[in-house]
Amino acid sequence: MSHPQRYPADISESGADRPPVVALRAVEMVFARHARALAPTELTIRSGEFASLIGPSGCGKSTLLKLAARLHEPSAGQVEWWGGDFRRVGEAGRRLAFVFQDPTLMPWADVASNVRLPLDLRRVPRAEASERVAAALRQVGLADRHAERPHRLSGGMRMRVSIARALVTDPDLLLMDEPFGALDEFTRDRLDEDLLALAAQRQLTTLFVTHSIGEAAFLSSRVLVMASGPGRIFAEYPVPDPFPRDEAYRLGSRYAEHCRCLSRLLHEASRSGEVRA
Amino acid sequence: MMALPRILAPALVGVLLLALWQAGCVAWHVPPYIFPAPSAIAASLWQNLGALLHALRSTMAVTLTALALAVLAGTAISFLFVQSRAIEASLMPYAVMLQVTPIVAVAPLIIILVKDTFWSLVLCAAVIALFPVISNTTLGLRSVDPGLLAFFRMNKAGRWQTLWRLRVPSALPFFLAGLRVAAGLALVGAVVAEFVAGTGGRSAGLAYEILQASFQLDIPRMFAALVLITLAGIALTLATAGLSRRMLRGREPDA
Repeated sequence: MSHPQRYPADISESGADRPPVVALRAVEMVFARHARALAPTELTIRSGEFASLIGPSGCGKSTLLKLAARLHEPSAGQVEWWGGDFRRVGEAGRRLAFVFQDPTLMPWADVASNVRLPLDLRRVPRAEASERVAAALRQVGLADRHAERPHRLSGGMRMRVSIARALVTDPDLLLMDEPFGALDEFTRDRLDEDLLALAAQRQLTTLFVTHSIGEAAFLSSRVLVMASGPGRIFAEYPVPDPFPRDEAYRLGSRYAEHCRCLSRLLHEASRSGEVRA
Repeated sequence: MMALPRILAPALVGVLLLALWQAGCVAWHVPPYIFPAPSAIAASLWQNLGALLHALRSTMAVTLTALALAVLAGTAISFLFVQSRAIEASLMPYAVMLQVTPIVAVAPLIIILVKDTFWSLVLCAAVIALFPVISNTTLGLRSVDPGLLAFFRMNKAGRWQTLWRLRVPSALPFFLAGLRVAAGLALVGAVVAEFVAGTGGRSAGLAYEILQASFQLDIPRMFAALVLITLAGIALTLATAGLSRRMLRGREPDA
């Protein structure tokens, strides 16, 4: 099953007329001496959408995300950013930001310096940089913690710093690799809500990897269910409910229905893959 | 609360041991030319304080100069090593060779080759202090959080930006650990070199004092010089530990 199956089939793709931000064209990934990590895959993420990748571990979610970020070069196929085929990670690369699984903060630098890092690397003048850092920290609710070292913060706060560092460059595209996977459920729910608010406010396009069905259903306008052996997109599941979504949405029946459908899809996806230890 | 037992406990043990030593020497009438009592050592230290302090200054000058030299050369070599695996692979065996060859065996050669006594001693001590600086700093410069490295790469950081903003701060704890070992080794190297040079009568350090005292069977004076070497070693350890704490302040304790 190399072509993604639509589910439910009668829901029309929303926002199909919007310009593509990232497009993976017949992208394939083979790691040396290992099984094929990713079968030839087609995927287009359009402006303003919040797409999630969900699937069993080892299905190539993170690989797909890193290919989209061009942290890896694909074994075959092409990655297009903003409609053009950039051969190199040039100016286009500056319009995206990546949030890793871990906060990946510099332990020797305070919160403000950590957030300022991408601006420093771009040689943004000090005064302007400080202003933007303060604004980014305000947005993630950490304005009063700017002078703290990362190890004094909780896991959730460190992740907020990491998000502030991603936002400080004012990106159009946000790529997130299971950013809240290591956090407790309560903290994760709060961060999910704040992330949605930020994405709406900044009109971000987001590609989000998660292993949580609930998180994918809550955040996404579209969920891509992946299967393994080899990694591929098994199904595409639109979540057409309007934004903003809040705690009330999470308690509603629509959300529960999406979770149920996604759970069923995920089971089908894991059965379709080769048997793995 | 925590500091008091940490200082008090070993001090108490020290006092106890000294008391036992003193009592033993008195009880069994051990002659001072065989094994002097702490009181005899203290007396000798006081009597010969001028000469011994002069010797201490000389040894410390060699130690600190050698340490500075080892740090400068060691970090420079480490920076060279991390530029490419090929450079490291071709030069590392020679650094290891320098490390595994006993300094006692090389010291006479260095002392013959280098005319100036001070610099020949410095060279001996630097050679043995060099390796921990190289190995730790190289390891540190390579031990960069892969996530942060990917972040730097995504943000198109240049080679120098990555070095100064990422590799050097990441390497700092490793370097400081290396410095602590190197400081101790520099002292060992200085003393060993003085012994070798001292047999040729060309030195004025604490090791020379020990040699002279042993020739004259002035055993308390020998011990007094030994006490000063130990104190110098403790001072070096405390100084490097303090420096390390100061420079790593604000970081995670075990980072």
